[in-house]
Amino acid sequence: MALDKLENSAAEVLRTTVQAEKLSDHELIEATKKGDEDAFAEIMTRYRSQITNYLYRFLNDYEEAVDLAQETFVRVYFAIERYHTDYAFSTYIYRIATNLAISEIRRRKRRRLVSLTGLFQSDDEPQAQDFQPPDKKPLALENLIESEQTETIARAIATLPEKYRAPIVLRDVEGKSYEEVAAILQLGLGTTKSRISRARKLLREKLQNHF
Amino acid sequence: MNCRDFLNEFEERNALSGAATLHLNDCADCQKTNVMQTRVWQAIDGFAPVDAPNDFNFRVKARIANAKPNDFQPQFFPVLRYVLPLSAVGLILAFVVFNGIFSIDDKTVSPIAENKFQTLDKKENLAASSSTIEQVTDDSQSPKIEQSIAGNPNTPTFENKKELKMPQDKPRFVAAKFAKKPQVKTPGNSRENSGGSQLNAVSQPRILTPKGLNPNQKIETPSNFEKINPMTAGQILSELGIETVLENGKWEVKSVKQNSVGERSRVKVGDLIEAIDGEKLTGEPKRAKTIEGKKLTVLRGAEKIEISLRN
Repeated sequence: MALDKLENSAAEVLRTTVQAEKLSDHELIEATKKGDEDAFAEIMTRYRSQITNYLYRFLNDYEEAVDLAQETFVRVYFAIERYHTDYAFSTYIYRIATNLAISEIRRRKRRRLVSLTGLFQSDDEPQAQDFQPPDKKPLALENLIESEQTETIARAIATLPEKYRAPIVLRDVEGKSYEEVAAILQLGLGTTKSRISRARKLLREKLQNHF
Repeated sequence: MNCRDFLNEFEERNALSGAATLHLNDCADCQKTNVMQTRVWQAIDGFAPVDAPNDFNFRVKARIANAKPNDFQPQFFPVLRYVLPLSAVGLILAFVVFNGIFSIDDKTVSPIAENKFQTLDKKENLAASSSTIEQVTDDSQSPKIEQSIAGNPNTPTFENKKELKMPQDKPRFVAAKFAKKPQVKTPGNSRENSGGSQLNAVSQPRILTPKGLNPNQKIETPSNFEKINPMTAGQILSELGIETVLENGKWEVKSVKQNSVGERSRVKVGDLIEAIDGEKLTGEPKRAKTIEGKKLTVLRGAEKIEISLRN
Protein backbone atom coordinates (compact mmCIF):
# COMPACT_ATOMS: atom_id res chain seq x y z
CA MET A 1 0.00 0.00 0.00
CA ALA A 2 2.74 2.41 1.00
CA LEU A 3 4.75 1.34 -2.01
CA ASP A 4 1.83 2.17 -4.27
CA LYS A 5 1.63 5.67 -2.79
CA LEU A 6 5.34 6.19 -3.35
CA GLU A 7 5.07 5.05 -6.94
CA ASN A 8 2.11 7.37 -7.51
CA SER A 9 4.01 10.27 -5.99
CA ALA A 10 7.07 9.58 -8.14
CA ALA A 11 4.91 9.35 -11.22
CA GLU A 12 3.30 12.68 -10.32
CA VAL A 13 6.70 14.35 -9.98
CA LEU A 14 7.86 12.88 -13.29
CA ARG A 15 4.68 14.01 -15.04
CA THR A 16 5.07 17.55 -13.65
CA THR A 17 8.71 17.68 -14.73
CA VAL A 18 7.92 16.50 -18.22
CA GLN A 19 5.13 19.02 -18.49
CA ALA A 20 7.40 21.85 -17.30
CA GLU A 21 10.04 20.95 -19.88
CA LYS A 22 7.50 21.34 -22.65
CA LEU A 23 6.34 24.76 -21.56
CA SER A 24 7.69 28.00 -23.03
CA ASP A 25 9.49 30.55 -20.88
CA HIS A 26 6.40 32.73 -20.62
CA GLU A 27 4.22 29.81 -19.62
CA LEU A 28 6.73 28.87 -16.94
CA ILE A 29 6.70 32.43 -15.67
CA GLU A 30 2.92 32.41 -15.49
CA ALA A 31 3.02 29.09 -13.63
CA THR A 32 5.61 30.51 -11.23
CA LYS A 33 3.37 33.49 -10.57
CA LYS A 34 0.68 31.02 -9.53
CA GLY A 35 3.06 29.45 -7.06
CA ASP A 36 4.38 26.50 -9.12
CA GLU A 37 7.92 25.99 -7.79
CA ASP A 38 8.66 23.29 -10.36
CA ALA A 39 8.15 25.84 -13.08
CA PHE A 40 10.72 28.14 -11.52
CA ALA A 41 13.12 25.22 -11.10
CA GLU A 42 12.74 24.55 -14.82
CA ILE A 43 13.55 28.19 -15.57
CA MET A 44 16.70 27.87 -13.47
CA THR A 45 17.69 24.67 -15.20
CA ARG A 46 17.31 26.28 -18.59
CA TYR A 47 19.27 29.43 -17.88
CA ARG A 48 21.65 28.72 -15.01
CA SER A 49 24.57 27.63 -17.19
CA GLN A 50 24.04 30.39 -19.75
CA ILE A 51 23.98 33.04 -17.08
CA THR A 52 26.90 31.56 -15.17
CA ASN A 53 28.95 31.32 -18.36
CA TYR A 54 28.07 34.89 -19.32
CA LEU A 55 28.98 36.25 -15.90
CA TYR A 56 32.17 34.21 -15.82
CA ARG A 57 33.29 35.72 -19.14
CA PHE A 58 32.24 39.12 -17.90
CA LEU A 59 34.05 38.98 -14.54
CA ASN A 60 36.66 36.28 -15.22
CA ASP A 61 35.96 34.94 -11.73
CA TYR A 62 34.03 31.68 -11.46
CA GLU A 63 32.98 31.92 -7.79
CA GLU A 64 31.78 35.47 -8.24
CA ALA A 65 29.99 34.46 -11.43
CA VAL A 66 28.11 31.64 -9.68
CA ASP A 67 27.22 33.90 -6.80
CA LEU A 68 25.87 36.61 -9.10
CA ALA A 69 24.02 34.03 -11.22
CA GLN A 70 22.23 32.84 -8.09
CA GLU A 71 21.49 36.42 -7.13
CA THR A 72 20.09 36.94 -10.62
CA PHE A 73 17.55 34.15 -10.15
CA VAL A 74 16.62 35.39 -6.69
CA ARG A 75 15.88 38.79 -8.21
CA VAL A 76 13.90 37.25 -11.02
CA TYR A 77 11.83 35.33 -8.47
CA PHE A 78 10.97 38.37 -6.38
CA ALA A 79 10.34 40.59 -9.39
CA ILE A 80 8.33 38.02 -11.29
CA GLU A 81 5.08 39.94 -10.80
CA ARG A 82 6.60 42.92 -12.59
CA TYR A 83 7.82 40.90 -15.55
CA HIS A 84 5.97 41.63 -18.77
CA THR A 85 5.84 39.18 -21.62
CA ASP A 86 6.38 41.97 -24.15
CA TYR A 87 9.96 40.84 -24.69
CA ALA A 88 11.87 37.58 -24.39
CA PHE A 89 12.62 36.20 -20.96
CA SER A 90 16.22 35.60 -21.99
CA THR A 91 16.59 39.32 -22.66
CA TYR A 92 15.11 40.07 -19.25
CA ILE A 93 17.36 37.72 -17.32
CA TYR A 94 20.50 38.77 -19.20
CA ARG A 95 19.67 42.37 -18.39
CA ILE A 96 19.44 41.61 -14.68
CA ALA A 97 22.68 39.65 -14.81
CA THR A 98 24.42 42.48 -16.66
CA ASN A 99 23.29 45.07 -14.15
CA LEU A 100 24.48 42.92 -11.27
CA ALA A 101 27.84 42.37 -12.95
CA ILE A 102 28.30 46.09 -13.59
CA SER A 103 27.42 46.80 -9.95
CA GLU A 104 30.00 44.25 -8.88
CA ILE A 105 32.67 45.83 -11.07
CA ARG A 106 31.93 49.23 -9.57
CA ARG A 107 32.06 47.78 -6.07
CA ARG A 108 35.45 46.32 -6.85
CA LYS A 109 36.68 49.65 -8.15
CA ARG A 110 35.71 51.32 -4.89
CA ARG A 111 37.74 48.78 -2.96
CA ARG A 112 40.73 49.02 -5.25
CA LEU A 113 44.16 49.29 -3.69
CA VAL A 114 46.05 52.37 -4.67
CA SER A 115 49.57 51.05 -5.00
CA LEU A 116 52.67 53.15 -5.43
CA THR A 117 53.27 51.60 -8.80
CA GLY A 118 49.74 52.64 -9.77
CA LEU A 119 50.83 56.26 -9.57
CA PHE A 120 53.19 55.72 -12.48
CA GLN A 121 50.78 53.75 -14.62
CA SER A 122 48.91 55.34 -17.46
CA ASP A 123 45.21 54.76 -18.06
CA ASP A 124 45.99 52.37 -20.90
CA GLU A 125 47.93 50.06 -18.67
CA PRO A 126 46.30 47.32 -16.63
CA GLN A 127 44.27 48.61 -13.69
CA ALA A 128 45.51 48.55 -10.12
CA GLN A 129 45.11 45.39 -8.10
CA ASP A 130 41.81 44.70 -6.35
CA PHE A 131 41.23 43.64 -2.78
CA GLN A 132 39.60 40.57 -4.23
CA PRO A 133 41.62 39.81 -7.34
CA PRO A 134 39.93 37.63 -9.94
CA ASP A 135 40.29 33.94 -9.34
CA LYS A 136 42.80 32.89 -12.01
CA LYS A 137 43.44 29.44 -10.64
CA PRO A 138 42.42 26.67 -13.00
CA LEU A 139 39.20 25.06 -11.82
CA ALA A 140 38.86 21.43 -11.02
CA LEU A 141 36.55 20.74 -13.90
CA GLU A 142 38.41 19.73 -16.98
CA ASN A 143 36.23 21.71 -19.30
CA LEU A 144 37.29 24.89 -17.52
CA ILE A 145 40.98 24.35 -18.20
CA GLU A 146 41.81 26.55 -21.12
CA SER A 147 44.82 27.18 -23.18
CA GLU A 148 47.16 30.00 -22.32
CA GLN A 149 45.98 31.97 -25.33
CA THR A 150 42.36 31.63 -24.32
CA GLU A 151 43.19 32.66 -20.79
CA THR A 152 44.99 35.73 -22.14
CA ILE A 153 41.94 36.74 -24.12
CA ALA A 154 39.67 36.17 -21.12
CA ARG A 155 41.86 38.43 -19.03
CA ALA A 156 41.99 41.02 -21.78
CA ILE A 157 38.20 41.05 -21.97
CA ALA A 158 37.98 41.45 -18.21
CA THR A 159 40.13 44.59 -18.42
CA LEU A 160 37.89 46.30 -20.95
CA PRO A 161 35.78 49.20 -19.69
CA GLU A 162 32.35 47.97 -18.60
CA LYS A 163 30.54 49.86 -21.35
CA TYR A 164 32.53 47.87 -23.95
CA ARG A 165 32.81 44.63 -22.05
CA ALA A 166 29.12 43.78 -21.88
CA PRO A 167 28.45 44.24 -25.63
CA ILE A 168 31.47 42.22 -26.77
CA VAL A 169 30.77 39.36 -24.35
CA LEU A 170 27.14 39.20 -25.41
CA ARG A 171 27.97 39.38 -29.12
CA ASP A 172 31.21 37.44 -29.53
CA VAL A 173 31.10 35.06 -26.57
CA GLU A 174 27.38 34.45 -26.10
CA GLY A 175 26.64 34.78 -29.81
CA LYS A 176 23.67 37.12 -29.41
CA SER A 177 22.48 39.12 -32.39
CA TYR A 178 23.00 42.88 -32.50
CA GLU A 179 19.28 43.36 -31.85
CA GLU A 180 19.36 41.13 -28.77
CA VAL A 181 22.44 42.89 -27.43
CA ALA A 182 20.74 46.25 -27.96
CA ALA A 183 17.62 45.02 -26.13
CA ILE A 184 19.59 43.59 -23.19
CA LEU A 185 21.68 46.73 -22.76
CA GLN A 186 18.76 49.02 -23.55
CA LEU A 187 20.77 50.82 -26.18
CA GLY A 188 20.08 51.86 -29.74
CA LEU A 189 21.20 49.51 -32.51
CA GLY A 190 23.73 52.02 -33.83
CA THR A 191 25.21 52.60 -30.40
CA THR A 192 25.43 48.88 -29.83
CA LYS A 193 27.27 48.25 -33.10
CA SER A 194 29.57 51.16 -32.41
CA ARG A 195 30.44 49.88 -28.95
CA ILE A 196 31.06 46.35 -30.19
CA SER A 197 33.35 47.66 -32.93
CA ARG A 198 35.20 49.83 -30.45
CA ALA A 199 35.52 46.91 -28.02
CA ARG A 200 36.98 44.68 -30.71
CA LYS A 201 39.49 47.34 -31.64
CA LEU A 202 40.53 47.77 -27.99
CA LEU A 203 40.84 44.02 -27.63
CA ARG A 204 43.02 43.75 -30.73
CA GLU A 205 45.25 46.49 -29.40
CA LYS A 206 45.60 44.70 -26.06
CA LEU A 207 46.38 41.38 -27.72
CA GLN A 208 48.65 42.48 -30.53
CA ASN A 209 51.78 41.50 -28.57
CA HIS A 210 50.39 38.06 -27.76
CA PHE A 211 49.48 36.91 -31.25
CA MET B 1 35.14 50.18 -50.97
CA ASN B 2 37.15 51.90 -48.27
CA CYS B 3 38.57 50.51 -45.04
CA ARG B 4 35.56 51.65 -43.01
CA ASP B 5 33.06 49.90 -45.25
CA PHE B 6 35.23 46.79 -45.24
CA LEU B 7 35.41 46.77 -41.46
CA ASN B 8 31.64 47.18 -41.16
CA GLU B 9 31.09 44.20 -43.46
CA PHE B 10 33.86 42.15 -41.87
CA GLU B 11 32.51 42.65 -38.35
CA GLU B 12 29.16 41.18 -39.33
CA ARG B 13 31.05 37.85 -39.51
CA ASN B 14 29.33 36.92 -42.74
CA ALA B 15 31.01 35.81 -45.91
CA LEU B 16 32.83 38.74 -47.52
CA SER B 17 31.41 40.23 -50.70
CA GLY B 18 33.47 40.53 -53.89
CA ALA B 19 34.18 44.21 -53.28
CA ALA B 20 35.31 43.50 -49.73
CA THR B 21 37.58 40.68 -50.90
CA LEU B 22 39.15 42.96 -53.52
CA HIS B 23 39.74 45.66 -50.90
CA LEU B 24 41.24 43.10 -48.52
CA ASN B 25 43.72 42.01 -51.17
CA ASP B 26 44.82 45.58 -51.78
CA CYS B 27 44.85 47.02 -48.21
CA ALA B 28 47.65 45.94 -45.86
CA ASP B 29 45.99 47.49 -42.79
CA CYS B 30 42.76 45.63 -43.40
CA GLN B 31 44.71 42.40 -43.94
CA LYS B 32 46.34 42.88 -40.56
CA THR B 33 43.01 43.61 -38.90
CA ASN B 34 41.45 40.61 -40.59
CA VAL B 35 44.16 38.26 -39.38
CA MET B 36 44.18 39.61 -35.85
CA GLN B 37 40.43 39.65 -35.43
CA THR B 38 40.03 36.18 -36.88
CA ARG B 39 42.54 34.83 -34.35
CA VAL B 40 40.68 36.54 -31.52
CA TRP B 41 37.39 35.08 -32.69
CA GLN B 42 38.92 31.65 -33.01
CA ALA B 43 40.25 31.88 -29.47
CA ILE B 44 36.90 33.08 -28.17
CA ASP B 45 35.10 30.30 -29.99
CA GLY B 46 37.46 27.93 -28.23
CA PHE B 47 36.24 29.02 -24.83
CA ALA B 48 35.01 25.97 -22.98
CA PRO B 49 31.45 26.45 -21.75
CA VAL B 50 31.22 26.94 -18.02
CA ASP B 51 28.46 25.05 -16.23
CA ALA B 52 26.72 26.04 -13.07
CA PRO B 53 27.40 23.83 -10.03
CA ASN B 54 25.07 20.91 -9.40
CA ASP B 55 23.60 22.43 -6.27
CA PHE B 56 22.79 25.67 -8.05
CA ASN B 57 19.00 25.30 -7.78
CA PHE B 58 19.22 24.28 -4.15
CA ARG B 59 21.33 27.32 -3.30
CA VAL B 60 18.95 29.66 -5.09
CA LYS B 61 15.98 28.20 -3.25
CA ALA B 62 17.82 28.59 0.04
CA ARG B 63 18.54 32.21 -0.79
CA ILE B 64 14.91 32.81 -1.68
CA ALA B 65 13.81 31.22 1.59
CA ASN B 66 16.17 33.43 3.60
CA ALA B 67 15.60 36.64 1.65
CA LYS B 68 13.19 39.39 2.62
CA PRO B 69 10.94 40.27 -0.30
CA ASN B 70 11.14 43.98 0.61
CA ASP B 71 14.86 43.93 -0.20
CA PHE B 72 14.01 43.50 -3.84
CA GLN B 73 11.22 46.04 -4.12
CA PRO B 74 12.04 49.20 -6.04
CA GLN B 75 13.32 51.74 -3.56
CA PHE B 76 12.78 55.46 -3.68
CA PHE B 77 15.84 57.62 -3.71
CA PRO B 78 16.63 57.80 0.01
CA VAL B 79 16.40 61.59 0.13
CA LEU B 80 12.84 61.44 -1.18
CA ARG B 81 11.79 59.66 2.01
CA TYR B 82 12.33 62.94 3.81
CA VAL B 83 11.70 65.42 1.03
CA LEU B 84 8.23 64.16 0.08
CA PRO B 85 6.67 64.36 3.57
CA LEU B 86 8.30 67.75 4.18
CA SER B 87 6.97 69.02 0.85
CA ALA B 88 3.49 67.81 1.75
CA VAL B 89 3.63 69.60 5.11
CA GLY B 90 4.94 72.74 3.38
CA LEU B 91 2.11 72.67 0.87
CA ILE B 92 -0.48 72.28 3.61
CA LEU B 93 1.03 75.19 5.55
CA ALA B 94 1.15 77.34 2.42
CA PHE B 95 -2.49 76.51 1.76
CA VAL B 96 -3.50 77.45 5.30
CA VAL B 97 -1.52 80.70 5.23
CA PHE B 98 -2.80 81.63 1.79
CA ASN B 99 -6.38 81.05 2.84
CA GLY B 100 -5.85 82.97 6.04
CA ILE B 101 -4.65 86.03 4.15
CA PHE B 102 -6.86 85.99 1.11
CA SER B 103 -10.09 84.49 2.39
CA ILE B 104 -13.23 86.46 1.59
CA ASP B 105 -15.35 87.30 4.58
CA ASP B 106 -18.81 88.29 3.46
CA LYS B 107 -19.43 90.29 6.61
CA THR B 108 -16.64 92.83 6.18
CA VAL B 109 -15.60 95.42 3.62
CA SER B 110 -12.67 94.72 1.34
CA PRO B 111 -9.94 97.21 0.60
CA ILE B 112 -10.66 96.76 -3.09
CA ALA B 113 -14.23 97.85 -2.64
CA GLU B 114 -13.03 100.57 -0.36
CA ASN B 115 -10.85 102.11 -3.07
CA LYS B 116 -13.76 102.23 -5.44
CA PHE B 117 -15.94 104.17 -3.09
CA GLN B 118 -16.36 107.83 -3.64
CA THR B 119 -14.47 110.06 -1.24
CA LEU B 120 -16.59 111.89 1.26
CA ASP B 121 -15.94 115.35 2.34
CA LYS B 122 -13.58 114.90 5.26
CA LYS B 123 -15.18 117.64 7.25
CA GLU B 124 -18.63 116.17 7.00
CA ASN B 125 -17.31 112.76 7.78
CA LEU B 126 -15.62 113.87 10.94
CA ALA B 127 -18.56 115.97 12.06
CA ALA B 128 -20.93 113.07 11.61
CA SER B 129 -18.51 110.78 13.38
CA SER B 130 -18.05 112.95 16.41
CA SER B 131 -21.72 113.74 16.82
CA THR B 132 -22.70 110.13 16.54
CA ILE B 133 -20.20 109.05 19.08
CA GLU B 134 -21.76 111.37 21.54
CA GLN B 135 -25.30 110.44 20.68
CA VAL B 136 -25.07 106.74 20.37
CA THR B 137 -22.76 105.85 23.18
CA ASP B 138 -23.25 107.05 26.69
CA ASP B 139 -20.37 107.73 29.05
CA SER B 140 -20.45 104.36 30.71
CA GLN B 141 -20.17 102.52 27.41
CA SER B 142 -17.55 104.70 25.84
CA PRO B 143 -14.37 103.44 27.52
CA LYS B 144 -15.41 99.87 26.96
CA ILE B 145 -15.95 100.47 23.26
CA GLU B 146 -12.72 102.41 22.95
CA GLN B 147 -10.91 99.49 24.43
CA SER B 148 -12.51 97.02 22.12
CA ILE B 149 -11.62 99.14 19.10
CA ALA B 150 -8.01 99.60 20.15
CA GLY B 151 -7.60 95.87 20.58
CA ASN B 152 -9.17 94.98 17.27
CA PRO B 153 -6.79 94.93 14.31
CA ASN B 154 -9.69 95.24 11.90
CA THR B 155 -10.77 98.56 13.32
CA PRO B 156 -10.98 101.07 10.49
CA THR B 157 -8.74 104.06 10.88
CA PHE B 158 -9.26 107.54 9.70
CA GLU B 159 -7.59 106.77 6.37
CA ASN B 160 -10.21 104.16 5.71
CA LYS B 161 -12.98 106.42 6.79
CA LYS B 162 -12.25 109.28 4.48
CA GLU B 163 -12.13 107.05 1.44
CA LEU B 164 -15.36 105.21 2.09
CA LYS B 165 -18.48 106.60 0.67
CA MET B 166 -20.95 107.75 3.24
CA PRO B 167 -24.65 108.03 2.57
CA GLN B 168 -25.54 111.67 2.78
CA ASP B 169 -28.95 111.14 4.27
CA LYS B 170 -27.81 109.18 7.34
CA PRO B 171 -24.35 110.42 8.26
CA ARG B 172 -24.69 109.73 11.95
CA PHE B 173 -25.13 106.01 11.57
CA VAL B 174 -22.34 105.55 9.11
CA ALA B 175 -20.00 107.66 11.15
CA ALA B 176 -20.84 105.71 14.26
CA LYS B 177 -20.09 102.53 12.47
CA PHE B 178 -16.68 103.67 11.32
CA ALA B 179 -15.81 105.37 14.55
CA LYS B 180 -16.66 102.60 16.94
CA LYS B 181 -17.69 99.36 15.33
CA PRO B 182 -14.95 96.97 14.31
CA GLN B 183 -17.07 95.32 11.62
CA VAL B 184 -19.93 96.23 9.37
CA LYS B 185 -23.16 94.85 10.69
CA THR B 186 -25.46 93.10 8.29
CA PRO B 187 -28.94 91.75 8.84
CA GLY B 188 -27.51 88.27 8.57
CA ASN B 189 -24.87 88.83 11.20
CA SER B 190 -25.48 86.37 13.96
CA ARG B 191 -23.86 88.57 16.57
CA GLU B 192 -26.32 91.30 15.85
CA ASN B 193 -29.23 88.92 15.96
CA SER B 194 -28.17 87.72 19.34
CA GLY B 195 -27.91 91.29 20.54
CA GLY B 196 -24.33 91.03 21.76
CA SER B 197 -22.99 94.46 20.77
CA GLN B 198 -23.61 97.82 22.37
CA LEU B 199 -23.97 99.32 18.91
CA ASN B 200 -26.53 96.89 17.66
CA ALA B 201 -29.25 99.30 18.54
CA VAL B 202 -28.09 101.51 15.69
CA SER B 203 -29.96 100.83 12.47
CA GLN B 204 -27.91 99.54 9.53
CA PRO B 205 -26.13 101.97 7.22
CA ARG B 206 -26.84 101.98 3.55
CA ILE B 207 -23.54 101.86 1.69
CA LEU B 208 -23.45 102.69 -1.98
CA THR B 209 -21.47 100.01 -3.66
CA PRO B 210 -19.84 100.09 -7.07
CA LYS B 211 -21.37 97.43 -9.27
CA GLY B 212 -19.53 94.13 -9.13
CA LEU B 213 -17.83 94.76 -5.81
CA ASN B 214 -18.76 93.35 -2.46
CA PRO B 215 -18.92 95.95 0.28
CA ASN B 216 -19.08 93.29 2.96
CA GLN B 217 -15.52 92.17 2.59
CA LYS B 218 -12.90 92.44 5.25
CA ILE B 219 -11.03 95.68 5.77
CA GLU B 220 -7.38 94.83 5.87
CA THR B 221 -5.69 97.21 8.25
CA PRO B 222 -2.06 96.39 8.87
CA SER B 223 -1.06 96.30 12.52
CA ASN B 224 1.60 98.92 11.87
CA PHE B 225 -0.80 101.20 10.00
CA GLU B 226 -0.35 104.02 12.44
CA LYS B 227 3.37 103.89 12.12
CA ILE B 228 3.43 103.95 8.37
CA ASN B 229 0.63 106.54 8.05
CA PRO B 230 1.25 109.06 10.82
CA MET B 231 -0.58 112.39 10.92
CA THR B 232 0.81 115.59 12.33
CA ALA B 233 -1.18 117.63 14.78
CA GLY B 234 -1.64 120.23 12.02
CA GLN B 235 -3.30 117.67 9.78
CA ILE B 236 -5.53 116.50 12.61
CA LEU B 237 -6.61 120.03 13.42
CA SER B 238 -7.12 120.72 9.73
CA GLU B 239 -9.69 117.94 9.79
CA LEU B 240 -11.55 119.99 12.37
CA GLY B 241 -11.45 123.05 10.10
CA ILE B 242 -8.67 124.68 12.08
CA GLU B 243 -5.67 125.67 9.99
CA THR B 244 -2.57 125.97 12.15
CA VAL B 245 1.13 126.61 11.88
CA LEU B 246 3.77 125.20 14.18
CA GLU B 247 5.60 128.03 15.82
CA ASN B 248 8.00 127.68 18.73
CA GLY B 249 6.72 124.19 19.35
CA LYS B 250 3.08 125.29 19.54
CA TRP B 251 0.29 125.13 17.01
CA GLU B 252 -0.99 128.62 16.31
CA VAL B 253 -4.41 128.98 14.66
CA LYS B 254 -4.12 130.93 11.41
CA SER B 255 -7.67 130.51 10.19
CA VAL B 256 -10.90 128.70 11.00
CA LYS B 257 -13.13 127.42 8.25
CA GLN B 258 -16.73 128.43 8.17
CA ASN B 259 -19.26 125.87 9.32
CA SER B 260 -16.53 123.64 10.66
CA VAL B 261 -16.17 121.98 14.02
CA GLY B 262 -13.54 124.55 14.86
CA GLU B 263 -15.86 127.48 14.18
CA ARG B 264 -18.77 125.91 16.06
CA SER B 265 -16.45 125.25 18.96
CA ARG B 266 -15.41 128.90 18.80
CA VAL B 267 -11.75 128.45 18.17
CA LYS B 268 -10.22 131.78 17.25
CA VAL B 269 -7.35 132.93 15.11
CA GLY B 270 -4.26 133.38 17.24
CA ASP B 271 -5.13 130.66 19.70
CA LEU B 272 -2.29 128.33 20.58
CA ILE B 273 -3.54 124.78 20.73
CA GLU B 274 -1.64 122.81 23.30
CA ALA B 275 -3.43 119.51 23.59
CA ILE B 276 -6.28 117.37 22.45
CA ASP B 277 -8.01 115.50 25.25
CA GLY B 278 -5.08 116.31 27.46
CA GLU B 279 -2.57 114.81 25.08
CA LYS B 280 0.06 117.43 24.34
CA LEU B 281 0.67 118.29 20.72
CA THR B 282 4.17 118.51 19.36
CA GLY B 283 5.67 118.77 15.93
CA GLU B 284 5.91 115.00 15.83
CA PRO B 285 3.30 113.00 13.95
CA LYS B 286 0.42 111.90 16.10
CA ARG B 287 -1.49 108.72 15.95
CA ALA B 288 -4.58 108.94 13.82
CA LYS B 289 -6.99 107.99 16.57
CA THR B 290 -6.34 111.35 18.28
CA ILE B 291 -8.90 112.94 15.97
CA GLU B 292 -11.59 111.21 17.91
CA GLY B 293 -10.94 113.64 20.73
CA LYS B 294 -13.59 115.82 22.22
CA LYS B 295 -11.70 118.56 24.01
CA LEU B 296 -8.98 121.06 23.02
CA THR B 297 -6.63 122.75 25.43
CA VAL B 298 -5.99 126.23 24.08
CA LEU B 299 -3.78 129.07 25.18
CA ARG B 300 -5.60 132.32 24.37
CA GLY B 301 -3.38 135.22 25.28
CA ALA B 302 -2.21 134.43 28.79
CA GLU B 303 -5.32 132.37 29.57
CA LYS B 304 -5.48 128.62 29.21
CA ILE B 305 -8.97 127.44 28.34
CA GLU B 306 -10.65 124.13 27.57
CA ILE B 307 -12.81 124.07 24.47
CA SER B 308 -15.34 121.28 23.95
CA LEU B 309 -15.67 120.39 20.32
CA ARG B 310 -19.13 120.99 18.96
CA ASN B 311 -20.27 119.09 16.05
